[in-house]
Amino acid sequence: MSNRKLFLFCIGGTGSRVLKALTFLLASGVKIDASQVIPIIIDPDRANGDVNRTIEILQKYQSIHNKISYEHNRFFQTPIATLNSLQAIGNNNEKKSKTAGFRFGIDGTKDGRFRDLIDFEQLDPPNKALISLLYSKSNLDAELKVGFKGNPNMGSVVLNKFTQSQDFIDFASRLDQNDRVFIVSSIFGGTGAAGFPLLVKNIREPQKKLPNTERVRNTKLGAITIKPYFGVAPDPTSKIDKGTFISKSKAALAYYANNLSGDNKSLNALYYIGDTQTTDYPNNEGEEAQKNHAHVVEMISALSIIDFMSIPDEKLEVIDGKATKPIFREYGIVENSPNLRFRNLGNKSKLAVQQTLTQFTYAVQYWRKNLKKFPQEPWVSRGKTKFEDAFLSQDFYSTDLIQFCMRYVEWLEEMEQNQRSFKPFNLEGDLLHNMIAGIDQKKKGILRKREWGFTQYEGYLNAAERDMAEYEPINKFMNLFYKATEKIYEDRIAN
Amino acid sequence: MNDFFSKVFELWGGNISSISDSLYDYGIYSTIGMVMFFVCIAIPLIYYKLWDPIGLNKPKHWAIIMFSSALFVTLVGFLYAFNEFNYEDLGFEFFDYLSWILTLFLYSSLFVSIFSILVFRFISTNNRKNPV
Repeated sequence: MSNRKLFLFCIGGTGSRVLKALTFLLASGVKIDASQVIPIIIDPDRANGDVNRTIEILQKYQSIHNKISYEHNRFFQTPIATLNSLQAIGNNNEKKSKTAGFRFGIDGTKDGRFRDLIDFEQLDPPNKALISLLYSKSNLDAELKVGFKGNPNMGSVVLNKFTQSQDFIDFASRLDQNDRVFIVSSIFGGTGAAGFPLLVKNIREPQKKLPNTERVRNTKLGAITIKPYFGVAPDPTSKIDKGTFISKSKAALAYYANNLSGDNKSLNALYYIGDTQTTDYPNNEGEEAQKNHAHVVEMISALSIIDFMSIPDEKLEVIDGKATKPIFREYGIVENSPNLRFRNLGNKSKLAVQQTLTQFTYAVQYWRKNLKKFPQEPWVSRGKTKFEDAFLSQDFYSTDLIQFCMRYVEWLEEMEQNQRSFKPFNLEGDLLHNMIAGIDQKKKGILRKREWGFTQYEGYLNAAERDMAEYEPINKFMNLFYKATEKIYEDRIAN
Repeated sequence: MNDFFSKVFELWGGNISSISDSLYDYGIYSTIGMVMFFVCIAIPLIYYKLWDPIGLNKPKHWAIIMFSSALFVTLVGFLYAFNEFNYEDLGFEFFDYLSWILTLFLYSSLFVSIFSILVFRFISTNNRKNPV
């Protein structure tokens, strides 16, 4: 396994939703060339529904990952860690990072308004006049705890505080020589559009002395900037207007062209993605109500992170804070269809996700549809480790795994319901032969039948258990389902 | 072989019937004994290893299959003896065959059960716990 860590900055609601997608991909066993993924969520909207959903999922993932070993099982294999759990490089006595979780705070945004943050009342008249030109009254009176409501001009001031914070210093002190940094943000919102270039600038040209300054300056840095892929319903009372999304994107891109690419060459790799087919979400300005449905653009954005980590070091050279050979990538689907399946993804993407997501979904389907109690099958009672029904009410299964799987199914259902829709699986019913949408499975058996269900699934579990070494129950459980679903894929789906 | 199977089927002298001598004289004991031995090994082997059905792994399924194989051996044993003796015009009645039929059925059931429970179920993936 790789020895490099990935520090993943996820800015704003879109950043959180991409992180959520990445978490599900990693849970299914998608390979990433990283020893650990360290997500760092930046969003001043503390009650943001999307962010809180993502944090819940990350915590469940960690809880599951920490209880499993990985001799045969790849589900939940990649460690996801908080910055707090890492030791500062070269300084074993340094105190742990202030922030225990995944979300980093930004000073001054917990309460108060924008005018308070910039000490507007303390400014002299000329400066007050200048600020009044740059910011409207509603900008100045905006409460920061709900984010920037699509105003990157506010975000760029507020988020600057993050780069001067102890959290940023803690990040710098934990960045090792081989580690990489990736930034996820949208270009048409407030937080992401503002935070992304700020973060890049402060990594390549730190404003204050950081631990390991040179290492930070020359770190391999990638990013994805997500162009409009959804809209919001018109609402005269809301400050968010989808009519401005394109113009904001154009303005941001113009800034990026001059300050992030071109002669600047701040980024080793920059990915772009967006969509012309959009759904209008309810116009929620933030807080708990901002809970957008998952979208396939977010899943594909998560693939850009995996792609970035797979690029060899020699192609991501940085000298004196500048990338020598910056890479720019966009994503295209195979056939412009409003309803996507696996076959609409490019070959590389399909190879990365089709088998792993299929295996994981088969496992999830069994757990949620067929495991109210253990069946009387050899895989349950053979060997020294036998499964009792009490296992199903233990924390690992009932609190962590099943809850995580419910979020996973919810994620799939949301992507299916969105526009553009992505429906890789048919999750209804108990016949498993047509679970993968758009793929005819192989005919098997003497009678050459394609149909199969949970009865045959038990056979795969029995066969998987047969040659398995002895493990304690949790590990045996996960290893069994990984091996069984791997055999199912090999037998019935693989070409 | 005929001597060996005659002792087995006649329970070492405890199960002599009117057709016992004829079964011995015509070598039917050895023929049917080999058929019984072969079927009592082949059926469990097929069931547990070659077929190993996941959908038929309950005790009742096992019972049906083993019962059917015992019935098959009994039928073969009866018909073979009946045809042979009729050809030789030995004049036996159906009632004379009853002891032979019962013995065959019980022995077949016993041997197929022993082979399946004590030997072949351990090489099965889906039926290792079937019927016990």
